[in-house]
Amino acid sequence: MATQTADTAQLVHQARQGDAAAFELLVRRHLRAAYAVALGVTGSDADAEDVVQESFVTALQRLDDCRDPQRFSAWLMRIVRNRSLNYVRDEGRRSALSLDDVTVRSKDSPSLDAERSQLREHLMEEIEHLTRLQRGVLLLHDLEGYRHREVAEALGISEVSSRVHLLAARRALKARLTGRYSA
Amino acid sequence: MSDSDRVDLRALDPRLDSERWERMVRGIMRRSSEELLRRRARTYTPTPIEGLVAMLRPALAAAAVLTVASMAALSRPVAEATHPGSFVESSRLPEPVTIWLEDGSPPTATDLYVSNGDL
Repeated sequence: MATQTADTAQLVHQARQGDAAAFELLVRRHLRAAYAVALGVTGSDADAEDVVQESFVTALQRLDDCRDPQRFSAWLMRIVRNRSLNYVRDEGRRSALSLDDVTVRSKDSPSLDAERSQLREHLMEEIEHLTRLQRGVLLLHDLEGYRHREVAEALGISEVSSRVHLLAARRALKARLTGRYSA
Repeated sequence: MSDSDRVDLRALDPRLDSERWERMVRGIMRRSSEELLRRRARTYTPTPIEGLVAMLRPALAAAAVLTVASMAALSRPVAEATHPGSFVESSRLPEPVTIWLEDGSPPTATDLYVSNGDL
C-alpha cells in the first residue's frame, strides 16, 4: 500500500504493478509541476488541464520505459512538454490565452474568490506575452519551486539558459504588470 | 540572479481551487483505471499454496473420479457382480441351437432333423 512517505522510485515500482493508490500519489505529487509545464507551453488554463490528464495516462502506459524511477519527475515533465507541443501544433490550438478563456474557467471555479480570480486573470494575460520557454521556466521555478537544474532537465535546456530565461521572464512580467496597474 | 523582479505567482497555483484540483486528479485516475487493471492482471503471481493447489488440481480431480467410480463399484450387490452369461446362454434355447449359434456355422439337414425332436 502506498504511503505519503514512500519514495518516488518505490511508488513507480508499485504503479508498474497496477497499484492505483501508488499511482494516485505520484499524480498528486507531480500534478502541479506538470500543470506548470503544460501551461507554459499552451498558455491556456483549459488546454493545460487536458494535456496534463493525457500526459499522466501516457506516462502510466509507458511506465516500463522509465529506466530511472528515482528521476520519474524529469521523465514525466518531458512527456508533458512533448504532449503540450504536439497539442498546440497538431490541434492548431492557440498558444495564448484570451480573456474569454479566463472568464469561462472562473465560472467553473466558484470557490475562487473574486480578488484572486482577477489577479489570476491578469497574470495569465500578461504571461501570455512571454515566450513559451520563458513561461515554462518562470512557472516551474517561481511557482513550482524547481531549481535551475531541474528546470533545465524538464524543459530540455541548459542550466544557463534556464537562468537567462528566468531573468528575462521576470523582468518582462514585472514591467507589464507595473504598466497595467500604474495606468 | 535578482529576486527583486520576482512576481508572486501563487494565484496561478491550481491547488488553490481544491474543487478543480480534485476534479483533475479524479479525471486522471478514471482514465488510467483500465491500464492499472491491465497491469494488475499482468503482474499477478499466485501464493505458494495457490501454486501448489493449481499444480495438484488435475491429480486431485482424477483421484476424485476414481474414488467415486470405486465406491459405485463396491456398493453394487454381489449378485449383479457375477457374470450374467452370454446372450445365447440367457436365451434358453435348446442345446443344439446354442451350439450352432456359438460355432457360427449353419446347421446341416441332419442337425435340423435331430433337433426337431428337441424343439
